[in-house]
Amino acid sequence: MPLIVEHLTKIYPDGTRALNDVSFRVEDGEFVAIVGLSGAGKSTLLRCINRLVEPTSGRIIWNDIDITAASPQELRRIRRQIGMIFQQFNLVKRSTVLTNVLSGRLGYLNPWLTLLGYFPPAEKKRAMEALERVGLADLAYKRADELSGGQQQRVGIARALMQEPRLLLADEPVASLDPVLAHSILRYIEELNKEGGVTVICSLHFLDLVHRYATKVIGLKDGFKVFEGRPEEIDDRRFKEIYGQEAERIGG
Amino acid sequence: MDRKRNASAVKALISLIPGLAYFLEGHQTLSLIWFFVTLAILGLALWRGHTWLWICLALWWVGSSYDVLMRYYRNTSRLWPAVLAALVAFYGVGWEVTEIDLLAPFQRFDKMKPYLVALLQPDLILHPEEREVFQVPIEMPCVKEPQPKTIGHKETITVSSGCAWTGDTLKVEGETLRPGFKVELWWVNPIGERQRILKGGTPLTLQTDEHGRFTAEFTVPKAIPVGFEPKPGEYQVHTLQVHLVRRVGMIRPSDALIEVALKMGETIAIALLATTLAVIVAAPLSFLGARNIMGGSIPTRAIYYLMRLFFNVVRSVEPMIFGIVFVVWVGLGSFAGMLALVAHSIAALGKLFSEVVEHIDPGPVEAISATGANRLQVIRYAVIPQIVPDFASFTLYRWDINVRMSTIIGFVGGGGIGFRLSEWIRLSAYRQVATAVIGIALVIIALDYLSSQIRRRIV
Repeated sequence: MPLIVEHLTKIYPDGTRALNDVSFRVEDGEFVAIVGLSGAGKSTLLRCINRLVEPTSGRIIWNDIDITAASPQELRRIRRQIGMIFQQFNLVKRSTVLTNVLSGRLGYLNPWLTLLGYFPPAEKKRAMEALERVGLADLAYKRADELSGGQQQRVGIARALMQEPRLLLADEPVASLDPVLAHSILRYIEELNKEGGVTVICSLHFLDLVHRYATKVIGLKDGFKVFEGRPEEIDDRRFKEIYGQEAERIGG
Repeated sequence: MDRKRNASAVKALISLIPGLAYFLEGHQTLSLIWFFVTLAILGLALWRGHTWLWICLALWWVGSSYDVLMRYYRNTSRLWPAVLAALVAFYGVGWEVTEIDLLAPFQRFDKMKPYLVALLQPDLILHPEEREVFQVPIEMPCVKEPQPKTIGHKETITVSSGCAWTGDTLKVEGETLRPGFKVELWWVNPIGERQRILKGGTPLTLQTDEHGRFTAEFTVPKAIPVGFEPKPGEYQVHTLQVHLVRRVGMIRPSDALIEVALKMGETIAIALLATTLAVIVAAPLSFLGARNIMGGSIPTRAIYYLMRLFFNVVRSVEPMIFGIVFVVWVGLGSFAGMLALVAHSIAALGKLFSEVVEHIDPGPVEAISATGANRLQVIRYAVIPQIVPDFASFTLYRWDINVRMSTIIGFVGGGGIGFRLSEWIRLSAYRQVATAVIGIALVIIALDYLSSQIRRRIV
């Protein structure tokens, strides 16, 4: 079931054109890297897919459902199948690690019981398993802000795991982390992609990471799609198209 | 040359109308300020009619023109002469209408003195005492030859004269009374007004010796009731009371101290209840007054603006005014006081709370929304954990404020310590006032410390 983005345009109320007529298609099980300078529209593109940002025009179709036309209830049902991890982790700092992970399940549970803070034991077990998968089971009852950056991002991944996602959106998941931790986080995402068959759309800064993990690259510049292809197709000319004439390649 | 002269004439004309130059330069706000300041000084001059105000107006005018000319010809701005003239006018009128009297605090210090003195001797403890009273009738004035007068058989009190007049010196002696007792002298006039007999401005106090004897000389005080002056040849009977006083038993807290403690407790309880009720109302309302929650669509934004307006309007009404309103509405007493605090606290807390909600980190909200959670779940899991510490901190602070406020509200009949304090002030019960003031101060200092400690823990 592919994800089809058609003529996607986003104009913010202040007039900024963040996305201009962007179209592409993502097949199941792909690992798509979105590259481009800061402000190129990477975050807006990812947020349009689960409508954290309302697109101005264009369509996004996933599993034959038009996400852009979904009612609030339908949208929640779609969102719970789309995991998302963030550059700033976006954990609730004062809550425990376990509560943060459990909150990934909210879309599936009885809203009234969750408002009282009740989670069924089966869900707690599932949360502990998710934490085990990212190697943090022993920190379940710590407050989220007591964890290091790398650990917090792993909690973010565990929260996404709770959704049993079929699509994972990752917005610069390693940009706030020490570069040496980047691979450890991306390996978890890769594992989800390879073993779980989850489609991944991930914005990334470093091209060496793109080459290492992505099966497909979409390049954005000033809200326009300037590249779509395989990572190895990015040569010096394409690189300058995406990042501008001033840019120098570092690494990969 | 002619054009240049014309241009100068135009500039001079522009400079004559205050604010016009700013308007022409596109500074609408500044030109409006200029216009209204001019009107204000003119209005003040017309109202108060003082020459110096007209001079200020003239100086303001000249100063403004000077500024404009400096702008045209020297490219600098010289605002201070105009601003100075305006300030003199405003502060001068302010001084005048306030009727500032710098000497009053010194000249009328005697009005304040009893309170200050009483602060050093608050009514805190009571020493139960045993009191025996002997009464000696004294005729005023003397219509017969003065004769010494003795009362009692075994225990006797002898006064050097059975009749006297204001200002006379009398000698009083006691024999075979109970030894080791304190002796106080009191004077009671025919209509029952009682006064302590003083010597050198302080109450005359003696002690019976081991034989139960004492001797004292005193001056007959002014005691003739106004309007009851004796006619020539007649006399009225006053009474000299000799009190033998001994402290018995344990000291105990004075009635005033007990009253202050009870009423202080009542005050804290009123404040606590009012704060709790206010939080229950203000916490949900604060979400309706937070831009990041309500900014989504036009109807919700309308609710947001209404909520903001409500908070600001209600908050601007002093709790004391609410106190008066509720005393009229539900009657004198603690209930009125509590309602007044609730009304003000809802608005004050509502505004603070909604600002807390507005300043949360949007990241978790985004993350929880992305999991497919509904709006209430987002509030429960992304917003509430972030706001609880600040809410708790503001609530404690508000409780602290409400204890202070309820003291004031008591003055208008809202119960608690304030009500009793206002009564004591009216009765000139200085020492009881002192007890209450000290009690309030101690409780507030303690609460302040306590709440700051708790707040430090939770933030």
